[in-house]
Amino acid sequence: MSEPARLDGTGRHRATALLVAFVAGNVSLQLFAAKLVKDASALPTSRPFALALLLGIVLVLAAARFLVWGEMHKRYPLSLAYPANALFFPLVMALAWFYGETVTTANIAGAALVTIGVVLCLLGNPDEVPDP
Amino acid sequence: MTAWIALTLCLLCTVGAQLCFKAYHLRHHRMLLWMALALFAAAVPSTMFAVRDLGIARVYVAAALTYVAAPLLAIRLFGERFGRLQAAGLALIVAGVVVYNMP
Repeated sequence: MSEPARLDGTGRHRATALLVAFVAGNVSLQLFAAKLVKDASALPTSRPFALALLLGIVLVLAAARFLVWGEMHKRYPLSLAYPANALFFPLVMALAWFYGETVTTANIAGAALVTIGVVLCLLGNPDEVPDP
Repeated sequence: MTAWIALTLCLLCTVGAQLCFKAYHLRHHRMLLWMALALFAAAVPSTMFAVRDLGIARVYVAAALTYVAAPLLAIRLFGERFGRLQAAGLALIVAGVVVYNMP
């Protein structure tokens, strides 16, 4: 009796670890794309090739996120997986702070409300959600 | 002013892409898939132009409005419905974007 229970526990831990990895991967790709967009926005228009390269990488990252999503769709209910991706909103604020943008109390409160709102939306109707 | 236009374009492209993608899954017209991909791609330079003047956090937080617009348009276009929890979520997102942009 104890062996199957231990295996179930192991399986659950693996599933949780994989979910965390998927969410971390998806949010990281999203943040990295946001970083590249920020870098591209700082480039002068006299460097069109560098600009095109950065925007091209952003598109490739979007495609990679699409693949990660496909794997998440196969393995987990969206009601579990998608809300965790709302972590992107507070993290993008941290990224903005890293880039020297001013972060006010109103910004933090607003981002918190958006994050909670996104989680509620996804919990309310997890099968019909737009990917931001 | 140009940045706000770029942000509006970015939001419109993203919402349009979501709706085209949904329509493609419902109707299986390949043209809808290409339109979705084109709109997703068009959203990238629009985002960049918006980020240039508005900052990364403001643009990406505002992009959460697509979570509001897409479901509302889906009601009209696809006859979808949403519950109280989702309605509360949509209201919080709008409130969050307003609070975020308060001086």
